[in-house]
Amino acid sequence: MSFIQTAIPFVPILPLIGALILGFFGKRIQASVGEFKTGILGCLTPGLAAVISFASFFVLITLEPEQRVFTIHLTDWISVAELDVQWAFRYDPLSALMLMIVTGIGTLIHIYSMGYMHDDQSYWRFFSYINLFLAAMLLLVLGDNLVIMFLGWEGVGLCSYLLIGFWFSDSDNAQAGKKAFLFNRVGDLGFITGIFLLYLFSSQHYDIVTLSFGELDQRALFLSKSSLWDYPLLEIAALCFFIGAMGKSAQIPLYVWLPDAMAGPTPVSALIHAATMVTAGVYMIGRMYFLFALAPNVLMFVSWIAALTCFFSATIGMAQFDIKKVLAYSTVSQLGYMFLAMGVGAFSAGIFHLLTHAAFKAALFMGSGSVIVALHHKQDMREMGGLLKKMPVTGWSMIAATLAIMGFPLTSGFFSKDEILWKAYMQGSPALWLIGFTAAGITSFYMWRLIFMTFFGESRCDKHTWDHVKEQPKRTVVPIAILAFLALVLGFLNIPHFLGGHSGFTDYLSPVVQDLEIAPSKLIETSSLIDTHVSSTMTDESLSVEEDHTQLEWTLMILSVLWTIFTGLIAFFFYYLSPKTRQIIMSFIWAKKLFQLLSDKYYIDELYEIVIITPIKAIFQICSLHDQKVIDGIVNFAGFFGKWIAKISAVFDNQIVDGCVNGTGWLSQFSGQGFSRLQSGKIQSLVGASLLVGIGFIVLLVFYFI
Amino acid sequence: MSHILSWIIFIPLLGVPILFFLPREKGKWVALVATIIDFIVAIPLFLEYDKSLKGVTKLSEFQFIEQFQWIPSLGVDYLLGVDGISISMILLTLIIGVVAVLASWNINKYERGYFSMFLLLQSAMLGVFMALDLILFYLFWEVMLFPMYFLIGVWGGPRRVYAAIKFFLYTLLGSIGMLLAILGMWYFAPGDSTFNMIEMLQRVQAGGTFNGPLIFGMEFVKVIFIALFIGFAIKVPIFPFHTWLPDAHVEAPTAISVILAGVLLKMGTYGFLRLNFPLFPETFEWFRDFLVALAVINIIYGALCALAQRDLKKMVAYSSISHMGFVLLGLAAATPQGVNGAVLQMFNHGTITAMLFLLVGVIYDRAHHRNIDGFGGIASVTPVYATITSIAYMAAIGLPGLSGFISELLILTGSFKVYQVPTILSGLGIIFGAGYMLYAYQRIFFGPVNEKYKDLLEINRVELFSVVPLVIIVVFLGIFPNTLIEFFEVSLNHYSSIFVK
Repeated sequence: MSFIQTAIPFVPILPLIGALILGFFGKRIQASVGEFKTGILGCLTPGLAAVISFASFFVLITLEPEQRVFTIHLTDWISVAELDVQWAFRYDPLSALMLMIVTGIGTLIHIYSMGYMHDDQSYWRFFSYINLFLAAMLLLVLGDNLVIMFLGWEGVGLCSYLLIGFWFSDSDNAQAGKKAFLFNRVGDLGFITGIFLLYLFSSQHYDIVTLSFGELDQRALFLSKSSLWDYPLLEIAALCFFIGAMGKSAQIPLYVWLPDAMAGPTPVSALIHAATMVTAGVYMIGRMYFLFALAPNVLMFVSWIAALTCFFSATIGMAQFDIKKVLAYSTVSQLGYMFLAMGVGAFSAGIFHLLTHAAFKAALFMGSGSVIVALHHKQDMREMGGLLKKMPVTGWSMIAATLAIMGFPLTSGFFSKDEILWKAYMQGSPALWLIGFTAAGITSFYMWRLIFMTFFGESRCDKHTWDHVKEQPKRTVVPIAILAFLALVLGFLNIPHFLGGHSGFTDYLSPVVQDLEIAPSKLIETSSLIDTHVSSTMTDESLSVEEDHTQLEWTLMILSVLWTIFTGLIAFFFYYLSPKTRQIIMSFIWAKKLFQLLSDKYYIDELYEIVIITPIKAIFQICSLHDQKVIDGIVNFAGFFGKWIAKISAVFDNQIVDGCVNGTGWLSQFSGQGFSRLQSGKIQSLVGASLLVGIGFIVLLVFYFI
Repeated sequence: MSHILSWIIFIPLLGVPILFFLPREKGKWVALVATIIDFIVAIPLFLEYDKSLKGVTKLSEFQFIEQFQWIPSLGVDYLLGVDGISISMILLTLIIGVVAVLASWNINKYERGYFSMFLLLQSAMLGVFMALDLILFYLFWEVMLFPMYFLIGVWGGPRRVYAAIKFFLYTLLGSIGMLLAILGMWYFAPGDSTFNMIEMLQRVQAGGTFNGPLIFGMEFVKVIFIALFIGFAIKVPIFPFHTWLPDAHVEAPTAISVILAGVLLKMGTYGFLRLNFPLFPETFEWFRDFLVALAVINIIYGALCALAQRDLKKMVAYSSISHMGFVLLGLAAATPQGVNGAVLQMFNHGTITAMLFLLVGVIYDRAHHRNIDGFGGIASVTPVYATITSIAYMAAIGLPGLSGFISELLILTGSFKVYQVPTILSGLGIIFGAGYMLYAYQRIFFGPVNEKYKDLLEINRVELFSVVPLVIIVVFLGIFPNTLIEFFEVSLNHYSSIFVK
């Protein structure tokens, strides 16, 4: 057993143990050793998991690229007939990367939470939940088959539900948690249908189906020849999985839960709703790139949904005043970039953006949390301003992260976003590029708007609060600073060829995730190309193809740098230099209307209310009434009718039959006293009643089914 | 121990006379001891059970068989035996028995009567799962209904009489049809007349058919099939025969709800598995699409009705209807995953819904109402209760890692092979399921604390003793479902081979 095989199972198990200890005994522990030590205990297991993850990574990269895939079987999980799902983990460059993101950022956020959750009564409960979240997320990442991935997928959803509603005594928080869970459930139905599809066709042709990724990879080409309802199987399956991703990763139309999810404590927003859980959809596509690569139509669909999500949520972000809401819409928008990359087949670019986004968005959220705590839980940016003087570490860290998210040259976002836009241009279409390009400018605008409203200008909060504002303790700001630093430098991992780099990150992922070299739209046109969908290595020819475009690549890059700086300057002008101009513009009626439309999020929530929620409410009321009135009406009527008949027959017996019995000797001789007694009275009522109920049932049957 | 099955059936009944020699307050202890001893006596059954034997249609592969002549003139035997279809149900009945006694701890009205009815019920239920002779089966079946009627009618809530009569009439109707069907099957059995159901199955497998006359212009087998089906369907319950269930649950005392949902509902699907479907494989084929439709209706309609409920217990009752729909779906698909999932779901639904009813009982005992909107914020008042309830609700929602997920996954994978669209529609039931469960949880436990219940008592020790074992089972089977599946997999794969050709 190598180190990796022994150690990796502990990565998810450790946080799980932490969650259980804190869940069962946390209250007592906190009461006896105090808050600080409870927090240390909470950070301990993620910390150990992080150590293992990083150590394993360094072991992994010493191996030859083709030996970097490990499957670790633990035991059987579900096996019936040909279905054989194992408890098994898969450790390869992709999951190694995700493990480092999840445990690394996870640990930093745990430490940060020790400060953020200070003085909360349920300190222990918070750490228990967030430990549990890590365990579920790590299972999602490490799962060797779709079912374990789904387990983690649902598990993170549960933890998200618990943590959004962490301060449950406020009904709105609980409501937001429920909304998140239900929207995710809709996506999950897609995910699980995808599993069923792959299982169904796999089981038709093979004796054993484990649903493991390795097995699917081998069978993907074969399965691509199957079709269901005259559509290629893999297209349908990929679409189903993408619906799952829409729910978890907040893409149109299932994104509306994510902004509401900001009701949770800020560390939760940073960890779950920015850095890790919401990127699970991107990870899933990366994990199953071989399947999506065979579904070019779905890839096109993905890229368009992603581009629209990216653009529209960015526009909403411009008109929010709640600092966390701005970041939430920004997250939706950035997830759009990742899916855009996935959609045009630039899988490694999408995952690279996942990595850089995890760093800068976590830093931004944690910074906003630091501000919120300093201002006694105020989140409205209209009541902030001038905070840079009082909170320098937080402020400069957030500025660094903002540089990264806008794609300022040489920051991490610059490399990752530009790669995506370039691929969108080359393998998607200029239109996709234009949407992504525009959104990049909007991103820069709303982020600088946030920075200027929060950290610059005059303070707009009340004097008492202002006097008490101070920088947060070290355990809060150091993690922010670390992430901000990472946000600046992570980009150097993947310097593209045209800038003289080696695309190191793309190479690192290449044993398990290979980019498409042909645009998905071309794949559709020439179905014969499907058999050569993924080339194993970069061919000389493709390199030369890239050479030809160097000039274009430079042009696009410079364009987007200029554009983001330009929009950033607009924000600078409106929110710092000359707020008056802004007020003048905002006094126009069209500007008000537009702003209203954006700040009300295009009324999508209201639309959901009208189109889905109200009809469902009506339907279930009808079902319930139908039960009470129609079905029970028939049953009660049968019972009532039966009783009535029984009464009449009793009267008939007493008056007429008995009269006859008494009056005519021949009848009494014929029927006999005993027989007559049996006929009358209770037994007869019972038989009568049950016969009538029987008739009632036949009426029911006729009523329903004939 | 020889005659282990008879011992298991009759140990609860042996407790009944003891009840009358002890003070009435001791009744619960007698019942507890009887059910625990029963459980212990049954342990060798599970240890010595040979998981590689098929059973179902092969009498020689049934285990722990007991057979002697009972009414020789009619050919009725006292015939007991166990195979994969029944073994997990026996385990479930034994567990729920103990749990339900603990849930009866607060009964303080006619204890002797209550516990004698209770123990009689327990014996009868175990008997149903072991009887292999049609008349014996029918006898246990009827004996089971009778104490249920009294348990609801005497110890129930305000509308108990209405609920009890409704229960009685519904099930009586089913029983009449069943009895006629059994007599018809006996008379027109392939080969010689017999009440031995496994013998009958063997003959059907060998190509034998029931050669009865046309009834009302319909083929004999179809009439018999439908008569049996309705008899069992009422128990499941299947739409539109389900309205007795919410009323019975709402009025029944907690323990009886637990038994009703935990074990009694499985009688119906057990009947499908044991008799109704395998005896008439061709008729089953004819009926199959209709059965799928019923399953989907059960799942979706039950879930929609649950969404509309304001009474917590009624909501759980409707969720039961929805979850039993999954069992039907698995049985209709008749693929190995489908039927294995169905039986696993029978077990899991038994434990999960039992938990749900126990937990409703806990809060009802304290607040004396069950109105979902009448609470609020009690998670901070009774954190332990809230935590356990959240686990139970999550299990009911089908959260992966808990047992309900495994069975629903198996059923849906199994049914997807045969019926793609109905399977996806059933998935909607899962979404609605999350809807009503989370709605109820949110209304009861979250939000500002309701002043009326700020001193609500935490779940007590007896209640914990009844719930925690179920929690453990639910978690364990979520992680290691194979420990249970392997008890019935061979039998059910064989069962499924009767249909899938």
